[in-house]
Amino acid sequence: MTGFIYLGALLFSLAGMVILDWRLKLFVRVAPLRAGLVLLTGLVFFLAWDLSGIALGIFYRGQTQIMSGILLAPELPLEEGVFLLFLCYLTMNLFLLFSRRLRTGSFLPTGQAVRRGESHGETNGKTRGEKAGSR
Amino acid sequence: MTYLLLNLGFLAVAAAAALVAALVHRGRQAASQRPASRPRKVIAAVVLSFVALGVLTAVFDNLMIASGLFEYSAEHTSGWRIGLAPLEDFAYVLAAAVLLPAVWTLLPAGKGTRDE
Repeated sequence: MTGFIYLGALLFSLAGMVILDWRLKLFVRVAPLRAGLVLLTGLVFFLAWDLSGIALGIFYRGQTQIMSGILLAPELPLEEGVFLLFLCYLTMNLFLLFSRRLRTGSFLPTGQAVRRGESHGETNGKTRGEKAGSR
Repeated sequence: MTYLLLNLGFLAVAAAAALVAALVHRGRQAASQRPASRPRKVIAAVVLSFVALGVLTAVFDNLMIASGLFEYSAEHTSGWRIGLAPLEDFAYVLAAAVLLPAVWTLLPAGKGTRDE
């Protein structure tokens, strides 16, 4: 079981990014195809970077009990792929959050009630046929 | 030094993507009649993202290296470190903060998506 500690931590963190995205309507939630292509580009770019570093002998996999041992390529563990996906998701969530804050003055999506943590049945203004409720 | 040179190569790719995105964005703005959005705000968002990512990297890269997830060859790194984290590692988050928003900007906004 200890072999899955790091993978579990990464998946837990990735889930946090998805929850943030969904609650604040940031990235994949608002544009799945566009976001998917961004994530794919990032993943390919950073895997190429990693593989180049490995080929040049700059870094290599550590000897540790907390990784699964599954490899995507020599010295490139499965966990690194998940880490890079998480890094790209985190980067875009941050960028879109900061962009929104600079543009609208709020981290919250437009039309969302200012008070959080309440089950607000009404949204102000925008009648865009809210289908997903206030999740 | 090898690590630094490798990073410069990938950072150049990210910078090129950002340049293309900026030009395409400006072209789109000129074509449409809408008032121009401020490129300064996009740059500010990129800088803020990089700062946040840099702080997280300083913390978590140290934790990850301390856990023995990966190791570095001493002959290929500059030796400059923040704790255990080689300074070169910060190039990853710099590239992420530059490249990914650029790709996002280059891709057409689908319906229902407000343009950044």
